[in-house]
Amino acid sequence: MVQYGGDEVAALVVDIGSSTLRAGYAGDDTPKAIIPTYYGYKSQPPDADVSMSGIGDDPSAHNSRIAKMFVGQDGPSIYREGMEVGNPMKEGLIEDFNPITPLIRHALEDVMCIRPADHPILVTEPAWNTPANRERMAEIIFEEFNAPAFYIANTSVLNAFAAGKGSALVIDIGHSEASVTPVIDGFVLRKGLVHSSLPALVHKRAKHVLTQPDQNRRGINLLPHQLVANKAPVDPGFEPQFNVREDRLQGITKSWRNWAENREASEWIHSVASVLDQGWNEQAVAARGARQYEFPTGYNYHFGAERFEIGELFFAHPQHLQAANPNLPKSLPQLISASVTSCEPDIRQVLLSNVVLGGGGSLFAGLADRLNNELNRIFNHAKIHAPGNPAERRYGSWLGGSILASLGTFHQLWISKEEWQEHGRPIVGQRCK
Amino acid sequence: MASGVGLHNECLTVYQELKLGHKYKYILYALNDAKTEIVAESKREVKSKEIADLTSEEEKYKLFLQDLTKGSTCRWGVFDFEYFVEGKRNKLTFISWAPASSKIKERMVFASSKDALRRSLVGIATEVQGSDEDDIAYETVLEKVKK
Amino acid sequence: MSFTKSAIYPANPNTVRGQSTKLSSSKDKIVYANGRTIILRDLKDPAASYVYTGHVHNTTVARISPTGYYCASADASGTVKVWDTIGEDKILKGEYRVLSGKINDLDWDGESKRIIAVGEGREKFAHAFMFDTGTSTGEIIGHSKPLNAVSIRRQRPFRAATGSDDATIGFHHGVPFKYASAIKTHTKFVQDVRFSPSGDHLASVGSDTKIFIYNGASGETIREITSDSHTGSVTACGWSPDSKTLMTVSADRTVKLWDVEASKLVTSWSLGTGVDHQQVGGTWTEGDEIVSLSLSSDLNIFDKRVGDKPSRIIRAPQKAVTAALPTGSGTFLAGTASGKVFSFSATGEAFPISGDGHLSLVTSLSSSKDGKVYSAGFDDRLREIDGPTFTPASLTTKSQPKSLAVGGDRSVLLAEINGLEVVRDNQKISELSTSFTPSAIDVHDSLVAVGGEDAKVRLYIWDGKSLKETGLLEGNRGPISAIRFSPDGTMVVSSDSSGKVFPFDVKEKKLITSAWAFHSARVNSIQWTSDSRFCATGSLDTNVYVWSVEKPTKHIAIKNAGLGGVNVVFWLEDDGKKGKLVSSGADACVRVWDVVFHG
Repeated sequence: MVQYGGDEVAALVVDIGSSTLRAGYAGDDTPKAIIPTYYGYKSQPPDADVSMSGIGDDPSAHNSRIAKMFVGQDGPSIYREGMEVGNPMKEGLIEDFNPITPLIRHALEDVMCIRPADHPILVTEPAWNTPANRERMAEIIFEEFNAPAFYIANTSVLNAFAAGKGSALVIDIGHSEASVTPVIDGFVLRKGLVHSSLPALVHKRAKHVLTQPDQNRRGINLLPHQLVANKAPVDPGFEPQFNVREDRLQGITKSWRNWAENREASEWIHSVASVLDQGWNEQAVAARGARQYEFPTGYNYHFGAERFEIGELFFAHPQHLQAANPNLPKSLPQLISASVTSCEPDIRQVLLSNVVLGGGGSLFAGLADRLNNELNRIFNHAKIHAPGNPAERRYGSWLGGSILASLGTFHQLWISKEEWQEHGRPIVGQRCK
Repeated sequence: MASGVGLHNECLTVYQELKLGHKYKYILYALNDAKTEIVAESKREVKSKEIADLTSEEEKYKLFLQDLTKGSTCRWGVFDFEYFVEGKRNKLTFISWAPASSKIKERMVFASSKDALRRSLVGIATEVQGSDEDDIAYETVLEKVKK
Repeated sequence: MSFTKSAIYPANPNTVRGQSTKLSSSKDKIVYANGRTIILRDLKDPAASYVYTGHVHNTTVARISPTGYYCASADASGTVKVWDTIGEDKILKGEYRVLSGKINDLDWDGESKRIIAVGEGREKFAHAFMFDTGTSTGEIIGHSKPLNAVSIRRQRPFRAATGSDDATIGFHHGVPFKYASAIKTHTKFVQDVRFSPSGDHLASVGSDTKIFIYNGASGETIREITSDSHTGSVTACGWSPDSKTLMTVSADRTVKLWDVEASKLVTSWSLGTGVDHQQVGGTWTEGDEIVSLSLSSDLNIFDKRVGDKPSRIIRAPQKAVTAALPTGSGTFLAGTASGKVFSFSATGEAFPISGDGHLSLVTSLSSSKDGKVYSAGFDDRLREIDGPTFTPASLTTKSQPKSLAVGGDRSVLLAEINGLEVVRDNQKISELSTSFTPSAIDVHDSLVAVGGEDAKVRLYIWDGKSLKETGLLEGNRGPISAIRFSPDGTMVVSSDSSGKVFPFDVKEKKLITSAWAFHSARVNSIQWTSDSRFCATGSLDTNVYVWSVEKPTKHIAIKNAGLGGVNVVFWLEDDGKKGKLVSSGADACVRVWDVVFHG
């Protein structure tokens, strides 16, 4: 039997998130391919032939609806008449495996220009991934990509190890999910694992706040640039002057519009949103000042309180919001408390002294400092390890996987194709612990 | 998940000498240069001048810390910790040291290799991990050991 | 009335895909685990087999001491039990909780005094202790992942070898056991390590397909056996009694014999091409028989002089027996929870009924007067068995079938959760929706009795076209679990989930006696003797009772007849004076009892 033990061929590392899919060579410092997880697609017209470019083999209802998929940088962001936008993830897990194969294929073959069948592939998974998902991923990598070897690694454990810790409380804030995972000696403590769609709430709220008028301004039109023909410069707060691309307006779908407007709200968040370091305080808001931001329509405004209100949602939910939604996703302090109290008392201090912060969402301006202050208010002694390097924060799990998969000693731990054929699905759970 | 890194034979034989024979006060382990194996980097005999000259456990522990935290290398240490609770007792203590100044690659290999060492050392009573001096200070460890 | 044990037909070993199953042997017995039992199967004399039922958790491995007096058996909770193999009662010598997780292997030392048990645990992966007191005798250190195998050298100086998922072999000096060195020859999980009987050599095999031979006293690597090597994980190895030949079994579906001195392949047996033929365990008995275990649970016995196939294959149920049917002249069929149906000969040899059978649990087996056998399963199928195979006939039932009975006109009457269905010649000919959920059914000529989950028994007349309700029998205290007409048709017995067994007079529709009330849990099976005088019942409470119609207060109690519950009982033969009663159930073993009736 051929063991996988080649030193010459580099392994690949694939890390799939709700916003982007990261892929690259093991041993590199950053992923070479960062593509959106969102994809564009056109539904099959009732009697047309199905064009099978880039579609997975699963005969599901959704697949029979997809006639063509558009992925990558030239995916959803390029205007196409009648194109819908979809995302295979839900609450941090892969819900629909159909688009996964084309997405990975695009990253590896089109962006990185390599043949997957030549390389062992390490894929990451969230701590709450299901055994069925894990095995399905193995099946895809072996059967559809013909890779010679495979491994699946837990993102929380990768993040803990990247911080040099065998035991840690890993807080991962992504694009749509935030999770708190207690890791003890390299193993996830399931009962303390909590996650919520807090970031998704923050984004949704931002979109709502922007599009609604408030006492100082009108509701903002989040028209994306693909639909703006031209615009004229206007003073802050003034009515925007722009022309819509009427030729395209008819052709856009609801899902595409939604996705595009959400993106505009996200851009706004990245640019101007922040969180106070000590809790809501009108004077602090005033002291921090306003920031100007311009939208594709040319509308621009100096945003003050609202940019901090949005950030505050990570830490506390305002009364009116709680009253309206009894099932609000847990805030960060709530998540952390829930996680820590589910763990035995004697390990709580170890976890709190070894908090590891990661994920692209954790780069939210002021979040790390505020989190540190909150934790030390609630708990006795909390220490956060938050890499300063944004790439390390954003791609921490990819990086951890990259280092692991590049180790000579790791070669013997891959599941080889022969072993997959010999043992079938159960081998994934046995070997990737 | 593990890194696949293994143990050099000496790692266990010196541990056995510390545990059964009380020959050493502490042992320091680290990854070899090629990062393919964990080796017993250094050990301090109980009868050595450096240990014998010191009178308190705290001083002996501080000597151990000096060796453990030299440079910005990640290391593991096993320290035969003596303390008094209704008589003289000792507990074998395992310390993982990953300084904030170490590089991410070293930290990743270090943390994913820890279990290969730790699980092989049967008889460890207390385990501590740290990246700052105060995580592994004498008082901190003493409190843990007494529990 | 009295009974004696007549025979036991043991289950075959548990197997799990991707893992090895430990088989051990002592003299002519092979020893293995199934469910919560430990089975000592005598290869020469099946009647001398024994099933040990002392474990509370799923059993994993057992080995008999070199002296042959004691057996040490282990389970998934980390407990080792040491019991006497010689006496009738198999007295427990000691019980020790040695690890905090599953025990994967254990071995005795040459003096039959010490045991090392290995497996999974939080603090450690192995424990070495004295068999009679449990006090530890050394420590096994040096591994970072669970241990799959352990072997102790029988001769002095004592040595122990431990094989781990961390791909290393720990070599320890004893006693007391102390770490000596780590052997790093394998690159993947080490599956088995075995010292040769002479102690000169140690062999190891692993998931990396390799076989290594070492010096038994020093642990030094002698060589790897490389020619004609396996092409899949090697799951077990064993030595010939003369220590010259090594057997290895592999997931590549072969069993190989190697001349160790010459480092050459002597024989290779290929068991087949399917996943079921992957070899997951093996042992070489002191009686010079080579035994291997397939994933399908077949035990293959090889004669080392015959190179093309096993000299015999022992087959038996591996999962709970859930349905049974006598088929004349001492033979019978047993359906199991996995969907397989076995045909047993009058001497207890079993072979599986071939063809596509059921995909899940077999709920019921019955036959028509002309000998055709019908089976129903939780895969919602009604199938037919003709001789040794399933016929292609297959009907999908309207809803899940709980039980079936075959009428005089070859109509198959099915009690399903949504009602009753009648099928003849693989065609549905009638159905009846019921207001209750049927749970048991039996038929005598044209009279049909259907028990329901509402604790009532309804009587119907089947006229060949439809079912007409003619009566009701009440008295049971819980959902009816089994129903049986007496062969002479005058009585019908219904049992329920509370353990009550109620015989009714069919004509009068009245309860005959309420004295058949000793079961304490659901009664799963009822079977009359041919003279309609005695009735046997088997229950979840693990007991079998034989009741008398003439003397209702006199009965036979066969206690603990089947660990986990008795699912089926039936008479192989009876002549009014004595009978042969068969019971089987959750533990997948078939037991035969000789019963003597009262005058």
